[in-house]
Amino acid sequence: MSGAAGAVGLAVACAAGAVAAEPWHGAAEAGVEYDSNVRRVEDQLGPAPAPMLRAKAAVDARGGSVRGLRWTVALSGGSRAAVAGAIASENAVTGALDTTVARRTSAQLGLTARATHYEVFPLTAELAARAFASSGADVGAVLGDDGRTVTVAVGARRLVYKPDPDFDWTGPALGVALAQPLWRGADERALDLTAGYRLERRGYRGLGYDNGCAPGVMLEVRCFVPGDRPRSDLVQIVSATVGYTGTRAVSLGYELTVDDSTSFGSSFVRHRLSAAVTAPVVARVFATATVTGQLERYADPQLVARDVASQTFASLDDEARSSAALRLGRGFGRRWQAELRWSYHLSALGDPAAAFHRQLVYLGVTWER
Amino acid sequence: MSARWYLALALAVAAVGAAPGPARADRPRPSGDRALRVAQATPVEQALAAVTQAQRAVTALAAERVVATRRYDAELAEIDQLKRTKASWRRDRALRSRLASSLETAKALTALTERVRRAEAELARTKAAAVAAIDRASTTATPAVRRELARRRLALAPPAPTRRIVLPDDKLDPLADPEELDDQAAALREAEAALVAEVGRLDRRATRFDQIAELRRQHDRAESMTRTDDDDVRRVAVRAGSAGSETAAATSDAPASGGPPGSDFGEAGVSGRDLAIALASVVDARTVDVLRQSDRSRDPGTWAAASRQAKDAVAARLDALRKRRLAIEARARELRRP
Repeated sequence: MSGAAGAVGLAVACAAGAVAAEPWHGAAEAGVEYDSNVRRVEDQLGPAPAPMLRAKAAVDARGGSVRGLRWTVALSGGSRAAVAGAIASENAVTGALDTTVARRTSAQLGLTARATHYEVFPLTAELAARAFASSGADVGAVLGDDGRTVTVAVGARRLVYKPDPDFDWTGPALGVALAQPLWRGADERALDLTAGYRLERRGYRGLGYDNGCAPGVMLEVRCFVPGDRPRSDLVQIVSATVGYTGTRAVSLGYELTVDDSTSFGSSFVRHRLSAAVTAPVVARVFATATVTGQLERYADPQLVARDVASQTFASLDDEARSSAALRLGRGFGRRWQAELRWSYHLSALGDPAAAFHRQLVYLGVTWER
Repeated sequence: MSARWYLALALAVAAVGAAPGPARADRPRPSGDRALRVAQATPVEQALAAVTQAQRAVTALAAERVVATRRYDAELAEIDQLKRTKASWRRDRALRSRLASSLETAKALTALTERVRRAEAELARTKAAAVAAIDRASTTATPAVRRELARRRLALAPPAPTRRIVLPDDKLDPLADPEELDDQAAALREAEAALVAEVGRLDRRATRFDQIAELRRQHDRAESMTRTDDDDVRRVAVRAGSAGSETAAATSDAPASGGPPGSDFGEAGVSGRDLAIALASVVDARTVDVLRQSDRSRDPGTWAAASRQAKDAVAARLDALRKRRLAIEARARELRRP
């Protein structure tokens, strides 16, 4: 970890030097949050509430004109930690670096090379379920014509899951993104479509599971037997969002994720539908209501513990998570903004063993330049 | 309700909003009393009436010119015919008569062309004034009225100003006579009217983009916060002795590689390019570049900043033009002094 931290530090120093020399954009946010289920566990596992402190800062700079090359460096870091209470496993610091070099070869075509790194550093020695590092590099082409933009990128991605190296994976990735204006009305009203497709072949470090039980036998923990080949997943994500901007901003999005895994019990299909509306309400306050529905269908049944000691299990074929959120934001001057947000998350389908509830209330400020 | 009545109603409401208090006396009455209507017409109605009148004048003069052109062509054809006939005293007399007549027609045609040009300039001026009046009324109009006003505005001033604004010569010629200076000052006044309209348009554009930018900023921020909730179900296969499910990796915060690399090559065509064409000879090259480059961005804040910069540049040019015109007018007065 010290090596990774050193690399991040070096990158930060280089980026800081670059930022100091070029025009830059910065943003910061901080606030307090009440989280009714900090560890994000099912109801039966005893969700514990805690007041949390959240902070984040980001800076990016862009410049360069040597041989038509332009670069962008974006750095960000943040933290989320419990202010009080016994739960410390979710306390973490995050850091991210995103560098892009772009070259426009013609009015319609641009070429890019991009490298990213994102890492979560747990603040305690406890098992941190959300501690990981994700890195990626790709080269791409951007085609733009009459407002339409198509981006194609090919590269590789690596994920390190700190609590268990068996879940580390590496693999090639292909991404295609489309931004297409659908309609332009009077008074600059607009309807836009953004769509994307992403393909990843994930080669895991750990072995995949086989079903060790005979067909027709009720699934139990003993059925999951490590196989003789490393796990490999083919992940495909298709998404489309239609956004309207007028006197209100409205977006409606759908995302389909298909994970086809060689490991028994790891394949799934996820449907995610989201809608959001933002409108000015009163005294320059903007309100945003967001609703999200998510349905997971598992190719193989999932075992979920029915008790804290994990002695009995329930089998799930599908599962749903939904959420609703309301956010109020108001700007003060050109750079400051105060925001208040409430969100509620629950599982709407499936066995009671998978029942999940979580509530968040956040109050914070943001700054940007 | 007919469209005309609807417009009258819309303009009435707009006028009430645009000019509260004493200006309420301008409120139009959709009655048949023409004299009263003229006396109490709103600024928008007055401007639109002026446009209609100017349009009629242009149409009438254009028709007159078409007739005169036909007559001239006929006379030329007749002269040509006469020239081809055998020479005689009678033919020469007829030819002289036709030539004199065609010369008169040519002179009339030239004068008519000049009148058409002036009428067209007057039409452009009245349209610019009407657009400005509509813009003033729009600032306080209700959404429904604003839509109607926008429709009228669109008819008067189609968007996408691909027509380049060409400014007349504003240098003071020390050898010019007063009449020439008057003509030059008139041309400069027309250019000033065009620039005033442009400043207003750019100001509205910047304001609107600022509103859009704020709306999108709030919307994007809310969606970003939803993503950081990180509530996805991430079950993976259980292991003997484990807690039944594990979180493989929370990647919702991680940057997904392969996405669009910022706004380097964003969408184009929110008429920044058209503005750059229109203002190419009005503002400096750097501002033209900023307008062109703003098309590449998806950020309405960038569009707003580019519009503001262009507005400031046009306003500065307008100020300079106005000073030059005043100097030219002063020079003309000086020359006329006995």
